[in-house]
Amino acid sequence: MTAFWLASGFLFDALLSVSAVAVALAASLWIAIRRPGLALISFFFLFAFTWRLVSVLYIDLFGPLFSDQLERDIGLGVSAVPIGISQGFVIVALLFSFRPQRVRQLIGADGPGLASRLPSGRFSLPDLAFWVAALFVIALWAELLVRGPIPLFAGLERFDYTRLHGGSLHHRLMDWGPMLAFQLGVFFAVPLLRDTSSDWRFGALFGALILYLFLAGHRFSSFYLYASFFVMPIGAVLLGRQATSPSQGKMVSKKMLRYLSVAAAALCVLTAIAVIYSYIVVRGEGGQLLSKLTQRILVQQGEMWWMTYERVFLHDNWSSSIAAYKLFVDPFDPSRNSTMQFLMEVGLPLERAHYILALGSSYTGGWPEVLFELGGPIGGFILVALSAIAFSEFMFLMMRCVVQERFATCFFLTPILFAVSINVVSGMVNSFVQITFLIKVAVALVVYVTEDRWRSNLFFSPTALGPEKKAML
Amino acid sequence: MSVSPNAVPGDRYLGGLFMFLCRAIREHLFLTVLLPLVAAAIAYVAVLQLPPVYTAQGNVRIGRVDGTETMGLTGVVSRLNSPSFKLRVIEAMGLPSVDRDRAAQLIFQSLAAKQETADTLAVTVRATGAQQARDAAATAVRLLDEEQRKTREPLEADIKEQLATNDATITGLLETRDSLSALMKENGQGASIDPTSLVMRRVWLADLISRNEQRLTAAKAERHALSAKLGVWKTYPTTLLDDVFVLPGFAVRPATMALLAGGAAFMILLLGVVLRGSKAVRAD
Repeated sequence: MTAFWLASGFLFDALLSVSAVAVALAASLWIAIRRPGLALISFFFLFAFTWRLVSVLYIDLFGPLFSDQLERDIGLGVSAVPIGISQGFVIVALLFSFRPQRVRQLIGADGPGLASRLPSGRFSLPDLAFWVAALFVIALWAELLVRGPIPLFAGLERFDYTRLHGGSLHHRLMDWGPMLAFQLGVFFAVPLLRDTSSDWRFGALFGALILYLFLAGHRFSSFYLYASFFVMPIGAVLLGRQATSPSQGKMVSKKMLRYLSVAAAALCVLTAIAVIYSYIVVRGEGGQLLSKLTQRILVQQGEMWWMTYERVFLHDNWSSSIAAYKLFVDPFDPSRNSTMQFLMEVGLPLERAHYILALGSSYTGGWPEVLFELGGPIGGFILVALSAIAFSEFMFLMMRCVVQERFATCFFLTPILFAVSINVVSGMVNSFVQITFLIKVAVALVVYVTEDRWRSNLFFSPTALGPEKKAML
Repeated sequence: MSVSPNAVPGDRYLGGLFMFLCRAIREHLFLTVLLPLVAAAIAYVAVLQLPPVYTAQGNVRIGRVDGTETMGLTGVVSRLNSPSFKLRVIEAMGLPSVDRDRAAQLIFQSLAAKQETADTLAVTVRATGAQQARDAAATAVRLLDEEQRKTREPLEADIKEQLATNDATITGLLETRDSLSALMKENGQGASIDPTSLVMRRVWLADLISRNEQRLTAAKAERHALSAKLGVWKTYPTTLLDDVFVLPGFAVRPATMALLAGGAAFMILLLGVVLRGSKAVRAD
């Protein structure tokens, strides 16, 4: 057996794959331990990265194995190496963008505490945000209870519920839910910047949303998406706290992480119940639960990357122009993520791919597949590096807006945050060429500049300075 | 209502931002309001000057043989949406190549199919003339039918062959029936044969006639079933369900273009004004 391994080069390939995965996972683990704030900001994609990497390694080491979705054997190879390097680019870019001295400078620029710069008013911004969000959540629950069957009890798939019974508020939640979760996270976490406790009203609203999703038949992916966006601003605030006062920051971090661990444990239990219930009751696949879960956890996350690896790296079969045409000009369904549509079209028999897509389903993955399909085996890495830099700088901008309490900018940047985050996880690129996205970017830019100028006037105009600072002028 | 000193006052924050923006706009009213309006008006007029574009839409029923599609509907949709098929449509219409002719380019870019029901799809195409748009939709359907005919015709021919064999069988059986009837009549007139033989012969002939009738009935039923396979409700070509519907319009809707141009100009100018800074605020 040993001789076979050595002769076939399997051992060398396996070592390469394991090393690439080990380095990427070690870097993620280091971030989680040493920079918990950054880990929370990056949780959405670090979790997806880790899962995909483990899946790709499984395919590399235990292949050839049968993929239910692709209806073919995949595996054996060193596909973990290019994806590991790609993920490494993102991690390095993040660490560079969020380097401690840069975060400290950010806080030092105009200091936290917008409230102290403004005269007292009739109502507070968090109160306003809370009542608006609470009204929406209450109306959402009322809509669920009044309109018709509750998917969890009726054994309905979440897609079917949305299509057949979902009301207008439910549809709004499906479109904007993660962004709402991010805003709830902002108002939940920002009080920590001012040495007060976090605003648990927003935590309760978030809990009500998760419970709603549970009843609406949602499982892991929605919980993960919503929770990831909710913890992003918490991570930003923790980074900000650590930058202003390292000792207090550490204390706040530890306390917050303890609370989050409890919430995460509860969410994990809820997810496990939802997944098991869905497979056994809704889909009636109890007998094949183990094999379904093996496919879902260990194969489906990495199979589309393996197909790209085989096409681009092994067979040198890629075309920038065809990829660009199918991604931006003529996708199967332009209203959805064109990346996975394209990957499915080139990876599956065309008719089968279109049949699955027409049902509203789609496979997992997309990043960095799309960049290698566009740029090939060498150009792909350049595109990955560029996208990593753009992404990490944007995340830093978001963190800056949260920490400096730029609520308006934060609000208008949230749809862009969603688009760039989805891009890094599922490779969606066609959203960037939509006119609506360009409008969102333009509005966010105007709001950013307006708020920046207004704050400059507020913080640095002579009338806004206290008597001590005036004396120093 | 009292606001906690640690909380950002909502009215002051939102009001402050809004007033800052309003002041910037008010100070540069010409730049931020009038110029975007002018840009919108220019865009509106410019779009009106562009040659009109006609959108043709037709509902297509996919051809079947014996109630079965020769190609799945999703396959037909992807075939219609494929660049190679679009190029065939342009060639069949006798238009110059896509990179040289605007009309061909427009048809190539706009020809699209979408599934509507379980066995129909909608074809949409845009062209520079109403007749051209109508022709493009009809050509697409005709070419599709021609492609499908290659699969459909052998199946139809097979059924027709079975039908011809069946017809021959029926003719043979009818002839046999006539012969047997004639023999039966002859049998009754023959007086020289002894009565026992006559009865035996009649029984034998009656049995033959009965079995012939059974085979004839079965052959006719089979013929009916085969004819039904080719009936218009089970076997039909790919056709347009109705006349192609043509709608006149513009390549870009003038109001949309005006809104986009005005909005873009407003955003750019607003950005410039805010970046330059407000005199009123600076003077504060």
